[in-house]
Amino acid sequence: MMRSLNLQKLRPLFPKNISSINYTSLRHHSNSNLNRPGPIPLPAEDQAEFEMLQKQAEERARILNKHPQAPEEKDKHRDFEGDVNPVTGEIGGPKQDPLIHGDYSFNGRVTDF
Amino acid sequence: MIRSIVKSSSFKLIAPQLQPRSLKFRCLHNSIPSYAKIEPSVSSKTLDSHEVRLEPAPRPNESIENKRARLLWQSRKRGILETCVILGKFAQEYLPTLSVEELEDYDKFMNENDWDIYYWITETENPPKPCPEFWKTRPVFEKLKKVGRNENNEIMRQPNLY
Amino acid sequence: MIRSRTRSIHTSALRLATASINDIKATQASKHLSSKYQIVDHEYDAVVVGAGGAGLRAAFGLAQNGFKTACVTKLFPTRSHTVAAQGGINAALGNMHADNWRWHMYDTIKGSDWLGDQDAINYMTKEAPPAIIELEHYGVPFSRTEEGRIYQRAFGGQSKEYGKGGQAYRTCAVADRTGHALLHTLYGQSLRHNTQFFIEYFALDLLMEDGECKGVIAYNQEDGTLHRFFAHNTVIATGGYGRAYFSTTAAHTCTGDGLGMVARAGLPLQDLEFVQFHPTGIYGSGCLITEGSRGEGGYLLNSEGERFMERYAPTAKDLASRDVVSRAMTMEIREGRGVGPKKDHLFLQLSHLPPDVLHLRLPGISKTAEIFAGVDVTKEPIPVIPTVHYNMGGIPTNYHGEVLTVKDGKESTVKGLFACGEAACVSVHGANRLGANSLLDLVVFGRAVDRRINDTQKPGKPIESHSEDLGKASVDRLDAVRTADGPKSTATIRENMQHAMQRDVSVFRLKESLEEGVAKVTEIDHSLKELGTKDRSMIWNSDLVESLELQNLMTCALQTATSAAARKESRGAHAREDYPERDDENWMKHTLSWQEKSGDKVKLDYRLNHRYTLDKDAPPVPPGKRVY
Repeated sequence: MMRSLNLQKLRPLFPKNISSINYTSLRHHSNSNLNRPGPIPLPAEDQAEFEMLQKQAEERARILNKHPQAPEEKDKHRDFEGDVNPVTGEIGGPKQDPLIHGDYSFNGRVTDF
Repeated sequence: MIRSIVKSSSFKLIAPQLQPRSLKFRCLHNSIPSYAKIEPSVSSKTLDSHEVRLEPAPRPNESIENKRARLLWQSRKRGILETCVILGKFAQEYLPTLSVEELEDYDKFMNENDWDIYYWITETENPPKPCPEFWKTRPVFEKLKKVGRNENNEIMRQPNLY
Repeated sequence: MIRSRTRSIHTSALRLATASINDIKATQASKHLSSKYQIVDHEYDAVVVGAGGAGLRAAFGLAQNGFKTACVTKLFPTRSHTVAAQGGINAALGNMHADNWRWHMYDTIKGSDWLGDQDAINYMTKEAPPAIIELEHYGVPFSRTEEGRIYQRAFGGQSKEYGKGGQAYRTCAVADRTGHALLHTLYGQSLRHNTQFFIEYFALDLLMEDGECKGVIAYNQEDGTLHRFFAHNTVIATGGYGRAYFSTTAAHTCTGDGLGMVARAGLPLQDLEFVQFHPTGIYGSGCLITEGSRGEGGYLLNSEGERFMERYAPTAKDLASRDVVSRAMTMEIREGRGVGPKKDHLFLQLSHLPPDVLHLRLPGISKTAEIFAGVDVTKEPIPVIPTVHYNMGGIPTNYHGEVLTVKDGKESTVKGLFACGEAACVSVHGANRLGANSLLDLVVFGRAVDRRINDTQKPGKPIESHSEDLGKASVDRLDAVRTADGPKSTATIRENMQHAMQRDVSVFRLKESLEEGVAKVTEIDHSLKELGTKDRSMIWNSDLVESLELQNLMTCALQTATSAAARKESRGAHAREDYPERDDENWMKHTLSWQEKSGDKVKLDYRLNHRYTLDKDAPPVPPGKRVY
């Protein structure tokens, strides 16, 4: 479940004349054999920023793959049976997600923030 | 290396299935006084493996007056705010008039974990540990639940001593 | 409930048993110390006051290393306030993604608004992973991932790559009972290692001689005897002083006893003006209601039925950040638009939300509001007020846990005295504490004290000679309180103090309001002379102990008010309307405050925070803007 890159962020980096190019293919090409015909390479710092954003997105996707997002709003608020959290795979953790509301809370009572 | 554990104000830790007067405690060290042996790894329905089970200390010569005074202190000073307030209110309303048997029940009840006390008194659905059947039969527990229900719909705060 | 028990002190068989065990060398103190009270002397290598997370960790570590350790506590160890901690512990274990303790250090320094001591923060974040793994070995059942490593979740304020790498997953927890599990595990371990517990002993004062700490004097409630514990090392781990305010999440045991003891010993307290608030605590009890209640559509109302947040934060309204909401609420109350007979709180309206949203998204709030506020959330609003949650300030220590004082303008350690936990100000939280860092603070610095004592001393050293009447002042003070017959009860004075603090020294701080606060609390401090207690017994006398606690709270409250009035900038939790900016040039320093006797004027001084770190590869973080 790969998240698509935040293309709005990347758009300003690219010169106008290549705005019609398919951006996903650029990502694949940046790691492939340089002898094949390909798009114009980015300036060094833009390339570095692009790769950093790509790394961030992959890392986020990796964490989420391991512990996928709650499928539905409803299920987040229900206590699950047994020891293993069905959504995140946590064993022996709290029965409700304590961080739903932004602070650390159980049953509407805040314990840490 | 210290051989004995002694404290003036004593407590007794025993495995839940052993009777208080039984002599068969599993000792960790040779000369621990009888009231301080522990069984932390014995599992029971209400203990997790890391939890320590407590029983009230044997105080055979304690007068009723002292008992009431001690239970008053122990009701007002708890680990979590919620039980401080509820037990403090209970102590103000009911403690002066409880019978001896009810006082002893209350003494035992207060040795449960604070969170369990709070969940059981307020009858929370699906508490992490279910309320033992033993407590459900005791009159003291009914009185505690009455305080927890806040039937007068007042703003709860720990009452002052005077 | 007036009890007139005028009989003499009860001597139980247990006390005589204590006195006769040879190991403990408990002897009768000389008669001229006091003829009215029986005093028993004990000698130990180390005495720990307080048996919460930090106290138990220090006591058990010392006992494990062979030191004869006593743990003096006014509560049963598993009833210490640590048990209320349901949050998690931060540690850069790197189980969910690559992590680095230096990133955690940066987050903590930024969170403390650059007031924290960077060497102490360096120490804490570096020692966090080993401390957690050690806890795991002792038996704390942390929650796990499928691979069996400790599960870590994302919590506010934690980031990767010095703030540039996105959210970090660093918080370890034990179901919803982290503090409870921690306490039980540590208590079980300390019993295994022969820590001597003195339970339900109320520690009165430190025994100081020539600026060195020789031990502690405590009062046994079981039989009314007084006990002097002479030790080479005294560790204070008594917790915070939340009870100085009217609305707080702290249990009724958090009365700043250790801080009071240190103040009376002539030593300074540090950074007391930094107190962490949360906007919506239930009026009366103090249980906090989650921000999610406002996030799901609830809003705050004043006495005119107006949604006043629209005036203070036109775009964000009720979803503004916590400090904006707290300040707005306090300003409304100060301007007279509070609700209730005393016009001192506000309403949180949730009744307009559809009942199934309430039931699904905020199930526990209905129950909590019903029990503690007596309201039915589907019909009535909940009374709320900004509530104190944590005290960043406390006893100044270095990162080893040794208590500091200022002598001849220079920082020096007090021999024989240590502090850890919420009672100490190391200071890792600086001007604002990050969530899930306080349990880490307890564990790491409890361990640090234990290591320091182990590194610098050997067990079994004989106690040096000391003067015979050490502790006489405490006995006199105890006697004065027990026989006090003034017109005002403890409860009256305590309520006056709490209301004054809540009104004037809380979230909203302005020169006039702070000075008013200082004046009011000073007056209440003087009114302690008119204290009257009703119960004259020495056994289980709640009135007596609550009055002693009030004396401790009063000195904390007055020092808080005075320090806040003096600090002319806004930093972290101390936000002033008249000085809204942070002033690093003049004010990047810790406040030290002294008040040796009740009724004295509070003396203030300052000391620079440590801007250097311990490790060469973790350079100090220069001050920057604190935005999230």
